[in-house]
Parts: sequence; structure tokens; C-alpha cells
Amino acid sequence: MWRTRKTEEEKDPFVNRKEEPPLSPFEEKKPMEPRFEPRPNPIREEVVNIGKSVYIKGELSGDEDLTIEGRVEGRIELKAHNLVIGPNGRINAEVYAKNVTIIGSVVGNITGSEIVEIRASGSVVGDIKSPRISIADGAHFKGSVDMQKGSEEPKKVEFSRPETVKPSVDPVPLKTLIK
Amino acid sequence: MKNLFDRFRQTGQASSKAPVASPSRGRAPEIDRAGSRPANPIFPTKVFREFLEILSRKDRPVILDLGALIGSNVEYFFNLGVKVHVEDLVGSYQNHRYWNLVEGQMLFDEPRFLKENLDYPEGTFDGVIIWDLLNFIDPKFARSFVQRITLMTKLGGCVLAFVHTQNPPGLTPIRKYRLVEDCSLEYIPSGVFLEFKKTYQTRDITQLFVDYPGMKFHLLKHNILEVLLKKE
Repeated sequence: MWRTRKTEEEKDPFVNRKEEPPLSPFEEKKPMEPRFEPRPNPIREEVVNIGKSVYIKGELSGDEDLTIEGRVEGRIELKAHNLVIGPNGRINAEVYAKNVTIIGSVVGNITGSEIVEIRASGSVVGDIKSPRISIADGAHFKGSVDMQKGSEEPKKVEFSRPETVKPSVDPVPLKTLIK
Repeated sequence: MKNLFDRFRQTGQASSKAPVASPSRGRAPEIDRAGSRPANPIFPTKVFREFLEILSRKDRPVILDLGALIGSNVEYFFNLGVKVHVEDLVGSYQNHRYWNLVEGQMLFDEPRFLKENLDYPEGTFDGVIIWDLLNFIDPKFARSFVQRITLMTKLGGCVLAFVHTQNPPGLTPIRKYRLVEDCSLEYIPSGVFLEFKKTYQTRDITQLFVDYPGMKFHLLKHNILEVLLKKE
């Protein structure tokens, strides 16, 4: 007899129904993600600079990146590091490094385990061995460039050859034709 | 299997950026369409393809690049696994140490020049490229220069040369030729002006390169003759 008033929610239980979080005695939290923030390493970031007035004769080797603005005669070995011959750098030496950038001048052979780059103002007289090279326009270079053996095998040079007409069927052995 | 020319073409289709001396393998520099530097004339070459074909038959080919240096050309051959020797003879030829003043005349020291710039063992190279050079050296010296090149080239090797067939008036700017997409050459003024000594027609070339039985000529635009000489 009595009409009970039904709210909309009661009519359709899925309308305006908010999702309730599952009951749990513990508050759910996202797991903490590891955060790696690079810390400045004063030793690593430094690049050693050999100044304009410095003249070194002999063997120069090291375990960090190096920029040379002075003069070096002999041998430079920074096998796993970068070497920059600055605009004032004058090198008369055999050079071994990972990346070699020449803005000044080098007389001697250069071996780079990654790349040897001669910038526009750079000058090289000597042979270069490296898997990659870059020679800017205006650079002076006299010598040879060759891919370093071992680090990366050079691609077999593939050029187009004159096309040969292929037989449509298997070629008949020559012996069967000659009777 | 993609060959060198396919790679040239592919580069051409994809190119819309400014040219870079890219160290990526086997890529010819792209033509500048972005207008980042003044456009230079670009012309297709014909016998250059054949030069590359001859090199392709060699195992680890070695070439000699003579003339004004273009870094991207060297990188291009290098990235194909070719060993490249570079001699910037345009620069060396102007060097005053090869010129002596004798009785009021400047005389060129040929033996010293050859010893200091072209001192390679016999049969070293599979290919030699002579860019814009022959017209600017004394015709007498050109003979000994060619003889030296012949000596240094292997049997079965070849020489690719570019010569002017007409004499431009006055001091002539030396050109650099940059390899660009689809076996084309971009003509770049080097900024160096030299006295033009001699024009070369096909007959002059035949007389100069006497030890090369196989010859092929192709006249490019701007009256430049492209010559391929095979040493057999």
C-alpha cells in the first residue's frame, strides 16, 4: 500500500557508484624505486690541459682525458681516453688514444680506437689508423687512412659488376654437348 | 645485395638535410638543398662508375688521391674499406722550397718534389685519382709526373683524371671536386689561383699516358674531360 521511495541508487545500483578501495589493514604504498643521481666526480670531470708554454719530450701516457696546447715530441698513449690537440698544440709524436681530435698540428702516425677527427684548422702529416675518421673541409692532411685491424672489419667493397645473362634452366654440362 | 651505386641513389632519395662529412659507412655526402651554404654546380660523372668497378675487383684496394683535398671524398672511400693515400699536390706545388731562382728565372725542382711527395714503391696503388692538377703543372714536368704515377700503379690498376679542354682567361681558380649523391661531382672553387699551363684534348692525353692501352673519355660540362686509363 505504502509506496516506498526509492532513490536512484537503489533502482540502479551501478549508477554513481564509487569504487571503494579494498579493505586492507595496511595502507597500500607503491614500492620505492631506486633513484640514481649522478654525483659530481671532481676527478673524472677534469680534463688535464697541457698549456701553451709547456714542452714535453719523451713518452706521455695517462688514464684520463687530455688537451694539449703546448708542444710534445715522442709518444702519447691514452688508450682508453680522449685526446684533443688544441689550436696551439704542436705534436711531433706517435699518438694512441680512444678519440683523437686535431685542431692544431700533428706530425706522426695516429691510432684511434674509436675515431680520429681533423678539424678545419687541423693539420696532420702521417698515417691514420682508426675504425672511423672525419676530415673537415679546409683541413690539411698528408698521409694515409686505413681502418684499424681488429677493432672493426671493413666491409667488403661491393660495386656493381657487368650483368651476366643467367640461363633459365640448369646449364648442361659441357661434356654432354661435345660428342 | 646492395652495391655502391644503390647506396649513392638511396642517399639521394633520402637527402633533404644540409651536407655533413658523415663518418657513416659508405655514404656519399648529400646535396645541399637547405641552402646552408652557397650552392655549387653539380654534374654527373660517367667514367667514375667504371673506376669504382675496377676497384671492386681488388681485395683491399689501395688508392692515391692527388690534388686539392676534400675530406668527405677521403671518408667516402675509407668507409668502403679502401686504403687511401692523400697527397695535396696543389698545396705542395706552390711551396716555395721547390722553386729556385736561377739567373732571374724561377725553376721548379722536379726531383725534390717527386721525392718528397710521390715517393712510393713500384706497384703500390690499384687506383690513382688526379683531380684538378694536370693543367696547372708545366707540360715538361707533367711527363715525369705521369711516368712516376705509372710506376706506382699496379698492373690491372687504373688512373682517373680530370682535365680542362679549354683555356680559361687569366689566373684560373683551382677546383675541388666533391663526390655527391648518384655518382655526381660538386665543383667547388678552392680559393687558390694558379697559372694555367696547358689544355688537354684526347690526343694530348693519349700521348702523355703512353703505357695505358685502355682509355675512356667523357666530356663533362664546363669543358672538363673525365679520363679513365687502365694499366694492362
